[in-house]
Amino acid sequence: MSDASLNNTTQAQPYEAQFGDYFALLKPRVMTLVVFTAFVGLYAAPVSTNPIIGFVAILFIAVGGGASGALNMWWDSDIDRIMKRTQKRPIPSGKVTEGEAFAIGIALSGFAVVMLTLATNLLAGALLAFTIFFYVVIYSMWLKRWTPQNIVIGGAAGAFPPMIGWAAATGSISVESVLMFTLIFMWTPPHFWALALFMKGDYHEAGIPMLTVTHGRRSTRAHIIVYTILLAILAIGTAFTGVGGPLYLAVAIVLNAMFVKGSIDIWRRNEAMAEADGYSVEKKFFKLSLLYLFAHFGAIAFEAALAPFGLGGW
Amino acid sequence: MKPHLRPLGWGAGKMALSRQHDMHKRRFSRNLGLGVVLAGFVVLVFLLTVAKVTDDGFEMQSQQTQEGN
Repeated sequence: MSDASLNNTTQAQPYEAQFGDYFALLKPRVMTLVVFTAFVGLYAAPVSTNPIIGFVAILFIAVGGGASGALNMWWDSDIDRIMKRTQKRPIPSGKVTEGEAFAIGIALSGFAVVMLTLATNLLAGALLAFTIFFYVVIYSMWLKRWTPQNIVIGGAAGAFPPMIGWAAATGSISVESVLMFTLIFMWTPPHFWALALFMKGDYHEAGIPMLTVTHGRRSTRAHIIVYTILLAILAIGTAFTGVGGPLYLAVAIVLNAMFVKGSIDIWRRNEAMAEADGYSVEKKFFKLSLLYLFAHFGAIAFEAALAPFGLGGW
Repeated sequence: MKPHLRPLGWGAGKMALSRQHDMHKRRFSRNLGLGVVLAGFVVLVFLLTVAKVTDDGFEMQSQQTQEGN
């Protein structure tokens, strides 16, 4: 369309998205988690990887994760328009069309899988392809609107990146990479249920069967404490495996003690108490959960960094 | 250089569209972003190629091919 032709369209000009609007489709904040955990998976693997190949692997794992985010926004644009938390995303805010998001998501998904396979190995590429499929089809299209266990099972999608990073380096799956996967898998439910507690009406209005909607808020608080205790056992147990060590153990003990205490604080409260202080305990738990994951994976990376000096691990 | 601000359209009832319209900024941002991404991809493929062909495994494969011939 030429500039001159625009002079005749005095009203209802379509918004032309800028680069940042397309980039926002890739969920940059989620991508930081993907990049970090994939990096730790690759770095903690017991083989040396060429730095350029390692960088390319992390980049395309991130692109694949971002592409699945774009496809999720395409599929969920109807409910994103309803929920306050997601109303400013590119599609609900009218900056990008559904068709554009779908095209970008599909193109980047294929591109990322092919590039990761060529740069590293077939297993890493296949795991990335499965992760995208799991997040878009199994979680977004099926589980999310069907079962209150959506977050529990769907959390697997976010747990794959360290396993893909490990596979990119070693070409295999091992106990350590499965443990890193399980750490994120078990962390996801309490993290999202805390969010669901203080984003009160959002999921209800959008008709998403979150635990808070289907089983009530009391039950959600109980679920958080159960999952947090199971997570703590797993996280501390990981300290005694190939990716753990004394530093990791120290970090895990401190953070899991704080996390379990946070979940007990949430469990002991009722809705009246929570509303009275603006869900401060739930919000604090949610923020702690972010620190929790970064600290655990940071400690795994530190253990790997100390290994060449004979200090990492047991 | 002084920016060129002359509106492109002067007709009554028509929208005056200057060269500094917000749409142009968004379009420029998109073009620049895509250009940077494509240039980055070219550099990345080059570096990846260098990394692959200097890898020990690559030399072994070429030796095997020669032995096969």
